[in-house]
Amino acid sequence: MASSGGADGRARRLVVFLLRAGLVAGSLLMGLGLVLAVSEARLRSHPVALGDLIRSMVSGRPSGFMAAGVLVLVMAPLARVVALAVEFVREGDRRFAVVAFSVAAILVFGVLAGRS
Amino acid sequence: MTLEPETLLLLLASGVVAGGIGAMTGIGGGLLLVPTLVLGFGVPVRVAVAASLVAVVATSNAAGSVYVDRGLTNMRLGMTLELATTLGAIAGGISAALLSERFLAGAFAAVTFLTAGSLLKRGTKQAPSPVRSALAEARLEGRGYEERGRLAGAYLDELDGRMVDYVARRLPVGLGVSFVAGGVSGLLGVGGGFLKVPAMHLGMGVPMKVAAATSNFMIGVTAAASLSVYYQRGFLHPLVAAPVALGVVLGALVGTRLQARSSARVLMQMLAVLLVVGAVQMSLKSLGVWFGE
Repeated sequence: MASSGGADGRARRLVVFLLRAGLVAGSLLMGLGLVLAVSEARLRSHPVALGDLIRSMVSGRPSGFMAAGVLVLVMAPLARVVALAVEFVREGDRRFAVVAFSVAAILVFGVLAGRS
Repeated sequence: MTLEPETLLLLLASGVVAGGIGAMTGIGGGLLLVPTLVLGFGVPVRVAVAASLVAVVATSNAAGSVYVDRGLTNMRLGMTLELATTLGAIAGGISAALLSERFLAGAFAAVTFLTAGSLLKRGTKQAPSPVRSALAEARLEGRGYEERGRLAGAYLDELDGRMVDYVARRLPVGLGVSFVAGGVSGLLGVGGGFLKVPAMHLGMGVPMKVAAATSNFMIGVTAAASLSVYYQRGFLHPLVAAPVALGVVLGALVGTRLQARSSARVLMQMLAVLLVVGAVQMSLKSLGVWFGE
């Protein structure tokens, strides 16, 4: 059954919105971090833990804003996996809803498997 | 690793160049970014790969959303193949953490040599850049669609203005190649479209434009899957990744506009030369004879 408009169009618009919102918000945060960073003498490059993210931003650290920007950017495609899974359920496309939820489960597995 | 403000601006500039070339040629910036970061800035290979993966996500968000908007992407096909690419990417990310920097440099050099050879072989027959065509075509009317419950759909062919129907076949071929593409992406920080697009087009019978669009849709999730591994192992440095990703986004915007005025053949040859230079340097690093740092 073809689905050029209606539910299919809604899923497409939702995906486009999520990807673009992630790109714009992430770029703004990374840009703000870069502006703050170039005003400092020198900075030590290091990973930023999720737990330190808010504190780092509140204290005006460039790496905090940059990390937040990267996080927002990376969350956008992950959010579209979940959004599509829900949309497929709404459309009654059970087969691909299972596929989408399986991708989401693999991503969660990746988070767990990636721990050193 | 300590970074001066000038270094951050140079990282931004590197991203602009890589993103611009990527937009003009359709070859993702990762193949240029990783050697630039490693050899030019002394960034450890795994930190460079993580930064490149963030740039891949940025590219996917930008170009991928345009393709989806145009109805060129088959999201069901993309999600199905993501079952394999995400597993491959996680395996690639975990492997990267276990393998030596020299091995990774050598593997990167091998993939870059292959891509450069492929570019030179294709020569003037190179298809238009997916990024360029997506952004340019976004202004046109008409959308493709996909079918519920199966891997099929249609897209609008601008050349003759008709809808072209397609059905994806031989799913196991697509899944197998996608797993490898995901592994290469997670290991080396590249998008892996050079594997997935031919697999979808030649192996599964999906039209080239739909294959390129669907590949672009997939690379963001694939890169995000391996990034979770790189992040948890301490290889994701925002001070390196953010300027590069920001630069890639800006470069893609500039490159899209410049591309219309550039010769595709000259661009491809220039990119092939750049890739060979980078591959030679990465080979030297893998052999322990690189003195650039």
